[in-house]
Amino acid sequence: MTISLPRWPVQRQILQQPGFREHPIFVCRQNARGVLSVVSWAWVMPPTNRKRSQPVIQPGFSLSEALAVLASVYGEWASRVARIIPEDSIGDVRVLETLGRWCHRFSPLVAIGPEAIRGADRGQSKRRGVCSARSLQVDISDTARFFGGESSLVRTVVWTLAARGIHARAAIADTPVASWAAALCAAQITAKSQHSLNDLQKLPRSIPRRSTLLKKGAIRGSHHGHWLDRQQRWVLVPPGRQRQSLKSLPLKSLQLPVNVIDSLAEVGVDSIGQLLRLPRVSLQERFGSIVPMQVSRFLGDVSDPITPLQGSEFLAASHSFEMPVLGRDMESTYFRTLIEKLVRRCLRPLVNANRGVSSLQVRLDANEGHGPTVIEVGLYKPTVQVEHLVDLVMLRLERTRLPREIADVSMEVMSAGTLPYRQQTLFHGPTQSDPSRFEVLLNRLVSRLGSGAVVEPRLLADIQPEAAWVAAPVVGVIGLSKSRRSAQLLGSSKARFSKPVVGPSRPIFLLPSPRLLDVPSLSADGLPARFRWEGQFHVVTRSRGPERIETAWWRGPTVRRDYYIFETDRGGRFWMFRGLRKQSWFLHGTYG
Amino acid sequence: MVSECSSLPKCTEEGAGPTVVSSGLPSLDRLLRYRGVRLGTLMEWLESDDESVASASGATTLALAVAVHLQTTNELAGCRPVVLVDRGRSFYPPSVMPWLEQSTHATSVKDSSSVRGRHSRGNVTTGREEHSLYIVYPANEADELWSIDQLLRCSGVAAVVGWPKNVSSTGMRRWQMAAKSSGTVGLLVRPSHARREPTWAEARIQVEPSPALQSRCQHVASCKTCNAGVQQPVSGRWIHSRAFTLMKVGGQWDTVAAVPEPSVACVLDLTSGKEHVGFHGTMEPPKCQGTIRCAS
Repeated sequence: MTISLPRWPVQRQILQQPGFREHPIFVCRQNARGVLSVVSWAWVMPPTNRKRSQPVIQPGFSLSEALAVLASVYGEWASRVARIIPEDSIGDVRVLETLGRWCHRFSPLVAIGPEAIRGADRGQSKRRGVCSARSLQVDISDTARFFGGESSLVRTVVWTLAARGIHARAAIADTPVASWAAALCAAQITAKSQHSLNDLQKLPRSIPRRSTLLKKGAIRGSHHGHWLDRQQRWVLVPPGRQRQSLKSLPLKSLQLPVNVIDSLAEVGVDSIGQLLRLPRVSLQERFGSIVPMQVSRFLGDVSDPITPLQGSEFLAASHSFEMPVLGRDMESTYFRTLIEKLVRRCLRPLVNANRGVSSLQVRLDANEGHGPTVIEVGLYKPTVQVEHLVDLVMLRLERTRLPREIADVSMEVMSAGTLPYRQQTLFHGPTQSDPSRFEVLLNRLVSRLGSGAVVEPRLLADIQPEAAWVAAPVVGVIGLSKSRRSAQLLGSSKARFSKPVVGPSRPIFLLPSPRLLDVPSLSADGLPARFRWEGQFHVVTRSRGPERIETAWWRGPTVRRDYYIFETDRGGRFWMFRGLRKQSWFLHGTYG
Repeated sequence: MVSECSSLPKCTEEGAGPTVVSSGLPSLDRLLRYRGVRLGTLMEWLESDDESVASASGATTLALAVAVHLQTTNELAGCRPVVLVDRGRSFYPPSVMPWLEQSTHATSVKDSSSVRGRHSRGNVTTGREEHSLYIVYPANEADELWSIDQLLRCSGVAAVVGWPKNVSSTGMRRWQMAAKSSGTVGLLVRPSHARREPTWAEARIQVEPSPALQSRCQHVASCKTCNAGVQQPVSGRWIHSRAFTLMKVGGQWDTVAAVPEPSVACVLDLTSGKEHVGFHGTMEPPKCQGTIRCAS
């Protein structure tokens, strides 16, 4: 089974910052000449207006082109609210690995999709201009029956991920290459193989009746520009019929190099079916061994082993009550004891392997008809301290509304890591600090306040003051420590840009948005002589400036400001700017 | 009386002197009872009485300067981070990041010299990525008070800077006990009307910007070219420093010992976060020194 995660770079950003759902998100890559190109983009919650056509923005578009297309459909305001995020392919793969470990509930053998390995080894992602680490391979041999069959499993996978806010397409086929092709091009199967749908319906274990392939109205034209439809999310290829079922798919779904696809296209070979009709001997003479090898893998003539994620045993423990208990009757001491028991059971195998918990999930299952209450706890560093883990879970439970009835309490280790080695000191003085205490504190703060509430400030060499630093959460959404990721991200950005602007020319407090000032009188040089702030008039005694800040046109909405530092007769120091468009004065910060 | 006895310095309890470190601002040290900041205590910074310039008066700047200095001064604990509790989400890190980089560099040099090149403290022994500044964003007032309380209890934090508006006497007492148990210093920037409230802080410092002193500071800077015989103001140099008047307006020790100097002047170098030497300890106009020297 292949789980394809379309627009994974954007999905990951939205997972970690749900506020992005309201904005168009562009994940971009900067080339050597400084031009940003779109790697992936999406707008989860676009304005609802059916009269508008969907913007067609392909990966590889330059950012300015993409914003222009967006503005032509939704208006100029859409490009102003767009969020532009630099690509972080390493972070994408790390979160994908975490998700892969989570998928061990479906099978013990889970691997990252082949495109990630190929892209990393051969540098193809750079050449294509498209990031491609976005799928998981799951070996479901002999495990599908535990989920009620393949049809039930593929739907369970899709909807379970959807419940976690992850949009996925899944496909089951005999071989990894075939399932990957089916998952990647589920929409094309629907659109292009209309004539073969009847054939598919006649097959003994054909596409399930509730499947989208048979649903009327499931077919759409372009999917670029909007979040994908819920109705085209899974494909089940009948056993031994991948040749017939997937013959209409394009060659790109066969994981062939771009130059081979281009060469085949020149001679009129565009689909898998056309390729399969060619003799393999001639393909080998013309293109080398890669094409016949992929064809053999597609058909299952040769084995195609997957490399499962290492160190990914998925630990879980659960407790079922004989009768459902009322949530309000659960005493905290009893709950604590129960959580402690589950934590100890989960930790036992980890301790022996010198590993600790990085994140865990607690599920409180209610009776039928009610969804489970899920609590996720992420940690700054792996730990095996039972008391600490129980404290973190209890902190979250205190702020969680418990279900009315609780039938089961289950705990799962979402990710684990090697325990850090600590040098023990001989003497402990009364004021000596233990670094692990600070990590414990970070975990407590994150557990109560949320992952985005405890951050490390990292400077960015961006000329626009609002974008001159980034708040990097110390603990990620699903147990990923983001400090390394942000360090990589910022390290690369430092190499590309000049130094960040810091020091006394920047204020201590920056207002969330610039505030328009009432400036009743100007001096001879056009600067404010007096301005009104907090109900009082302030007389300017001296000023420093201007510092012109003007952003580049390809970044989207242009910012053109002249910043000044003003000191007033009352001793206050303010950071103000004059907008170069309307010549209005705004307060942007104070030297508190 | 009971509260005063409970917060007596350690010299009366254990026979050893209290752990006092310099605040990094010599002028401020003169205001404090122990001529420095006693570890494990709270310090309140009151903003200007003029509410229209309260957020621009510089109280936060001074509190951050002291916090950064405390981060590297406490030699017993190594380099511990400073944590800010910012409910208003308005703190702008680029303004003070150079101070932290300088202090981190100073610490690394000191560490490497003290261990003679064998191992450096920090990454090797702790296994944790060292960051010198963290920011906590509580969503509401209850979370803000809880966060400060938790941070003050942790010995792995050098200083906690917060902007709590409403704190009960009980809550302040809890913080004081938490700080005392861990050795962490709490620096609380509060509005001027908090002066009327009781406090468990060891010192309560009112910060007022001093435009008159600031102009004299500019004078010194403008005379850098005296030797060349050309006296022209250096345009815009005034933004690199800022002058304040610090007044001790309360604190836990007022009933125990009188403070010799109720107010001092202080000129802070905003580039390094340290005080200009030529100004501390006097309200008289300083002599032209040709350049501004910073306290080391």
